[in-house]
Amino acid sequence: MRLALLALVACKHPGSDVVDGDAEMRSIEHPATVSVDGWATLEVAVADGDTSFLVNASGGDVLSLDHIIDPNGDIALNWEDWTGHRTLTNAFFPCDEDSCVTDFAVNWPVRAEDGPLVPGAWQVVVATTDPDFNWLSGGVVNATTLVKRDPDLALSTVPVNIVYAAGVGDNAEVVAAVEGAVEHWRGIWAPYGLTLAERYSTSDVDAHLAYPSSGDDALRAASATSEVGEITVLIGEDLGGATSYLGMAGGIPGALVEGPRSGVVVGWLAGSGTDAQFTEEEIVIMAGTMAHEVGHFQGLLHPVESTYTAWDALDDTPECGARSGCERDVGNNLMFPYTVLDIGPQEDLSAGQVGVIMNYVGSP
Amino acid sequence: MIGLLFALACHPAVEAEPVAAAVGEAFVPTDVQADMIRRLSMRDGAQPCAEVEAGSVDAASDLQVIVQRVELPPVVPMRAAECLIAKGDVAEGELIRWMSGEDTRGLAMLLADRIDTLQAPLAQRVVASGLAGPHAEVVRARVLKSAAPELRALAGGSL
Repeated sequence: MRLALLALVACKHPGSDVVDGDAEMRSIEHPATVSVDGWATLEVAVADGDTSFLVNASGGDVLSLDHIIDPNGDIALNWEDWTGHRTLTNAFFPCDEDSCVTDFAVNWPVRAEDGPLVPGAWQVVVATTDPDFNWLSGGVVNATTLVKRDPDLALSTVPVNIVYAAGVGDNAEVVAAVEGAVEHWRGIWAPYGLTLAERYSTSDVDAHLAYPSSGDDALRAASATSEVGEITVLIGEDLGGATSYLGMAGGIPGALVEGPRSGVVVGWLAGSGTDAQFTEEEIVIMAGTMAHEVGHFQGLLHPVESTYTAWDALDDTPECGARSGCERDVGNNLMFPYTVLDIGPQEDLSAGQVGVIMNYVGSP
Repeated sequence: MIGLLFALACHPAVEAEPVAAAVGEAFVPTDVQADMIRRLSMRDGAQPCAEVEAGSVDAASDLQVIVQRVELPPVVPMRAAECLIAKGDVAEGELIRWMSGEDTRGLAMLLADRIDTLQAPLAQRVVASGLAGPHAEVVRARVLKSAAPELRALAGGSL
């Protein structure tokens, strides 16, 4: 992972000569921090004009965000406030039913209303536990924080590195479908002031991709080809040995430094159907998958989860409670958890969702 | 109930009848199939096959209809095929159609990746059909990774 991108990143409005200003990103390498009583405290120096920061942490224990303290000593974010049916960030949740992670990322502020960022010394307190959430002392947390200074949070040019796994880049039809999907994705983002700045790479990682996890080397290798601050999208044949997933993000939000979950994975086979040939409709769905998964990586939750019993933390995405109502009220949203063809394009973003994306450090 | 579950679990793979595709007719799913299609349509998650099948009294038939008739979202028939393979409830003729049909390359790839889940004699016949068909190249590459030496040998690998 190279650090060259830490120079200025110019953001330009699509289709015009209006420049939204220069966004700047800098990196803070934290010294190895030893956990005391299950907490490791990382200090983040925020200067005047800084707009958000992204902590990328890893270690040997199960890691999660415990709380964030602002320069006044007040708790700005606490996991205990987010134990209900609304979710602000997955940084609080290191385990699912199958496994736990030993790395995570947290972006602050998350929503527009969580900002602006006050200058001074912030503290990000990381919980170090075992998989049963027993506190562990003595573990070492390694972290890099990226700080963004963005004078215009209404426009963003998002750098994305699209990486083909071994052999995938040699498949002309898949490459054409991916490039077509990227063009459609560009159109999904444009109305919201988001410009896609993509480039393409190849990697020798196996095209049978694993689900992103702390033990996965494929995303680590792919993200090593990305610049710091660039979102990695790894295109493989399938995920987890199955075609059950179109794509998956390495975190909500995701890390922007080299790591085992630093990116998004997409499997092309599930997206091309039983004939393994891409139609125009399938390319549009692949575009939606890419934009959806990168949306997760930028910090967006599903507005409503697939069970219709849990929601994101945004006030402008409806809290619906059943399939028919949810499809009616929020089914056209890019982050809706189901692909539903008979309700029209699923490409909408709410103002609150755009605010989350703009706050993400990877959206300069 | 336990007896029913046992009976379903032990249903032999080769007894299920393939569902005839009404080519050219617009496909209108039943309410049960529509619900299964929705459950198979998650963007970045997968409901367990048991949940997908929960509302169906003949899940194998419904899944086969979905494989044969649903094109979009493309992940739906692929997940349905995975559930069928996991159930071990696909007729041999249907497996051979997946392996050797002109327009079933994706199914051939999926099935070849899971060839070790089939019983040996059936797997050998299915592989043979794939190696003789239009998707021989992608089938061979996958079968060469099989854990079964006799299948690898069919694909030109060593025993």
